Amino acid sequence: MIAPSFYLLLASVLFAIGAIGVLVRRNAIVVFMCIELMLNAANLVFVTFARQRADVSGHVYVMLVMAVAAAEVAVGLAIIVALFRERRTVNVDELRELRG
Amino acid sequence: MSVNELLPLLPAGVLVVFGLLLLLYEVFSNQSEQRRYSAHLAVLGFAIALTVVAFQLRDPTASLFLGPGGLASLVVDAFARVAFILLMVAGLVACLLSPGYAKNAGHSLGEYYGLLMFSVAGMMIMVSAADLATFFVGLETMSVAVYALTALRRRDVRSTEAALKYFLMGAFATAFFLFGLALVFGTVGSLHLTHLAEAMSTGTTLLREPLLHVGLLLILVGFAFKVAAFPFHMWAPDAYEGAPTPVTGFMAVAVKTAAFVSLLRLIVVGFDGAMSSQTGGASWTVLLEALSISTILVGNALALTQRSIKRMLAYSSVAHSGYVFIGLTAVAEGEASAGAGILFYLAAYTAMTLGAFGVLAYLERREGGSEAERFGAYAGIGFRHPAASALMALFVVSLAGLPPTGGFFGKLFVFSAALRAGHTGLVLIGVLGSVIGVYYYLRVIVAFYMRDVPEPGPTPSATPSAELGFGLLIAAILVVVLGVVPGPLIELGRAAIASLG
Repeated sequence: MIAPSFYLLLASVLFAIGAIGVLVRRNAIVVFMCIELMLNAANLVFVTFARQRADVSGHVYVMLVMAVAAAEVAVGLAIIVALFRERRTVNVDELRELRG
Repeated sequence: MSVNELLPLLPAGVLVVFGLLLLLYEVFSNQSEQRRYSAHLAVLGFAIALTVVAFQLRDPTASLFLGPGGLASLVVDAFARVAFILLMVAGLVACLLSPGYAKNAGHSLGEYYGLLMFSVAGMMIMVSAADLATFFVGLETMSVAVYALTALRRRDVRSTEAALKYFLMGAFATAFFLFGLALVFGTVGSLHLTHLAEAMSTGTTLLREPLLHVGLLLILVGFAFKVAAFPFHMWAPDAYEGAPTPVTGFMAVAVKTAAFVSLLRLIVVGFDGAMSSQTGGASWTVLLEALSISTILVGNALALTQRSIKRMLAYSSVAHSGYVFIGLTAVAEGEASAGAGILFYLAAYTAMTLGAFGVLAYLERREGGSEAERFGAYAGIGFRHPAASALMALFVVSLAGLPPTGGFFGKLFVFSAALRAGHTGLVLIGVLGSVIGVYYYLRVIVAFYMRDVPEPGPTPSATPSAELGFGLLIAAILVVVLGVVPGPLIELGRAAIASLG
């Protein structure tokens, strides 16, 4: 069996890749995918600890997170589509209507 | 479990039922004449739910949905009920402010009120959750509904842009929060606040576990995003400026109140009240202190430089988060009276901020483009709309923290509790911030009353609406009542904090 610390390491790396992606990528959809990557990194941590502790509630939390993330995707993609219809772009750098 | 046991959650149930009714009403009434009444239906729902809470206010603490070890996922205690009242009053006033604004902006939407009620129901889950997993579900119910509310003016690029920025930042924060939850679950073995408290107070071996601290830090980052604390405030001005004005008011008060109240529960119950230095708590108070100092300074400094009233109010609400963090620092050191002060502050903040955004919603002339929101565009408004301007003056005086208003006593209670906890430096920063605040808040009054009217004066296209007037009246009465007789509410706040045990 692979030691739990490797899973945690993998999850941290995934989380970091996601976080960096959010900060450097400019396409709203790619940014959104990076956020999903971060959520799944959290899921991996939940599953790892659930297995290590033989505690099924960790698996249940993963289901919870997936359901919530699905709801978030529905609203998020709708917002991106609405924006694309008005602006013909999903590049976050080109969104400059709101400036102080 | 019998149905009777669910009665403490009845207020949230009423909101969800009315939200669903509103969605159906929208589908089956295709004439816009009929749709006019959706706001009234929403207000009726909030009024019924508020009545139910008022009757249940003295009920004993109810524990619902028992999990392993007999620990409840939801705890509806006096603390949660006081928060219910705050959140529902915010929802009710936001509903009253909306129809007039919608008429001026040329749209009317029934699902707006449905989403508003769902988000308040989510906030009610947040403030009564005794388990971080349950809290997460409430948080997301609230957030997803508010993202959709921000995007409501689909044809307006500013509204959708604000929604996208808010959504991406909010989801980013959610990811941090969730990773924090996973780490806490791994180290403590549970997400229940009682277990967290045990780990924090007795488990010295656990406290040396770096993963627990990283997890708690990430959870705090999630909260800081939601209340727009520095350095996680970047989304707030854009989201506040682009969203429909009544939604901005609702976002600024209700989302913040829900997040602060649940953070208060997390600190009092989860961190076991006193975070003394023996249990590694010192680093946590230092962190809260740093958050409050930087948030006050940055919020106020940026509010000074704004040329649009809406953005100025957005940055000032960042500064107000900083003042609440002063109270939270005191709470973290075991000064329970700061908790009551925070509840009072949030009540006053709710009334005055919603009122200020309500007046803006009344005066806003969208057709004029973003220029209409500049300070200069409001020249002479004080004489053309005397009633609305007088109310605006009242709200900004309260926001500035001058007596005799609710805002003054809110600051007084929070700062005096912090002084008792020995945070003189923090209170000095808070007072300094308030002084800066007086300058930019009074600029609003100057713009309204003391600027020369440009010739020819712009014709106000705002049409008065009875609902909006009523909503502003409620906010104004609350601001004045809290400023003249603060006693009853602060007593209620003390009882609420005591119920946390």
